[in-house]
Amino acid sequence: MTMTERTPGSPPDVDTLLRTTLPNDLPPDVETRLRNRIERFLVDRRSGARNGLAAVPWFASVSAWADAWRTVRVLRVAASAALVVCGIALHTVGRPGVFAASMLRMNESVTLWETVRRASSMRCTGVAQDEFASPADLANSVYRHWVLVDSAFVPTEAATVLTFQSPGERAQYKLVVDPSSRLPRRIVKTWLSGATPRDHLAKGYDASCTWEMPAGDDEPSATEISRTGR
Amino acid sequence: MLENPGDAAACGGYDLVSETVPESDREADFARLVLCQQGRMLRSIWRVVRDPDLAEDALQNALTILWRKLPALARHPNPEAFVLRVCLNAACDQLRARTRRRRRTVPLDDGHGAACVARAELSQESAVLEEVREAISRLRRREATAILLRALGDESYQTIARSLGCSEVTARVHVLHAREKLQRWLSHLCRPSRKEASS
Repeated sequence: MTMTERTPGSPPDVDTLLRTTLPNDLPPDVETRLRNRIERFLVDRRSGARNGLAAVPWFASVSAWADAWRTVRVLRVAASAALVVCGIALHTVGRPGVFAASMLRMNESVTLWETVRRASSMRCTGVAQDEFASPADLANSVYRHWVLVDSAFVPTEAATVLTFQSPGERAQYKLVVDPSSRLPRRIVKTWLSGATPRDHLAKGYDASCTWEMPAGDDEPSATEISRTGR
Repeated sequence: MLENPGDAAACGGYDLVSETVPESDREADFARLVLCQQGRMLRSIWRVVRDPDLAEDALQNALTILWRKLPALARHPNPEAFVLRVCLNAACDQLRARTRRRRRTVPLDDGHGAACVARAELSQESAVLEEVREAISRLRRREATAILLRALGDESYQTIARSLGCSEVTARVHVLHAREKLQRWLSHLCRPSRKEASS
């Protein structure tokens, strides 16, 4: 049934309409043309054709250059992707990285050293007086001998507690720093494992300190002391 | 209907199952498959596009896609159906591209009038063919493939399902939807399908 045979009174259904409108009548010349196209496609796919082209020196050099350029581009894309992933990972970690933390601790150390060095005199209870005769002694220890390993605000103390370790004498110092004066009001010393303390310091100490600042200094002249012996 | 007895004669079977075979062997297998199926491929493309240039473009695209999807073709349970589907898809893509090109060339303010003038210049059969091709190009890709396989190729629903990579029920649904849409868009040219009403 063709379109011309269809009577107006009886239209075909969809399938019949498709069959009659799109008949199977591939013209021979078109078929030949399409078969040639297939043949050309298959010839192009044969590896022999590519090798034949590669035999031409200039084509081989251009091909090698293109391959190298493609490799470089792939490497660049990979490196860029890795950097983007690293950036996202650093942001998603949610806390300062190791490098940032060490910088923060160094800043706190320097601030303490600077404040202590500016003080005109200090007085600590107990055995701490033997160790730190003057603010310069304590500042020197903070600057040269101690390493700040932890820093945290302690609500019960209403102060920041800086934890230093002294690798030379295998000891740990906890300095309770007053938030207003930024000077240590307590120094707690404990020994680390492997230490060989002198007899009278065998248990460490918990000393309270008072400070005097030079006249005209903006910083508070003294801190209130709470004495707790150990 | 898309089958050509001459194709099958020279085709003793092709082995695309192994992806580990050397490149040259794979090329030979691909060539054998294409040469065995070329009759069906050409006819299916021609029946949809009915234009030598469009047919050549569709064939080129189909061959490129088949070559690129050679591993998937090797794993496919029915390679012939897969090939036919790729060809019909390529043909429908050409129809869609042609429709888009035509829309771009017709001025928007005078679109209706220009279309009417162009339509009047065509013979009645050409006008019907034009409408049918435009309707096919408006179908979804899977629906177009399903209805063309069913209506033009008389393929079973099982073959259509394998070709589309879906269940037989889904294949039936695709055909049904395509029929409904074509019926709606070409209502002045055809009547509701009795087959669908019964099924």
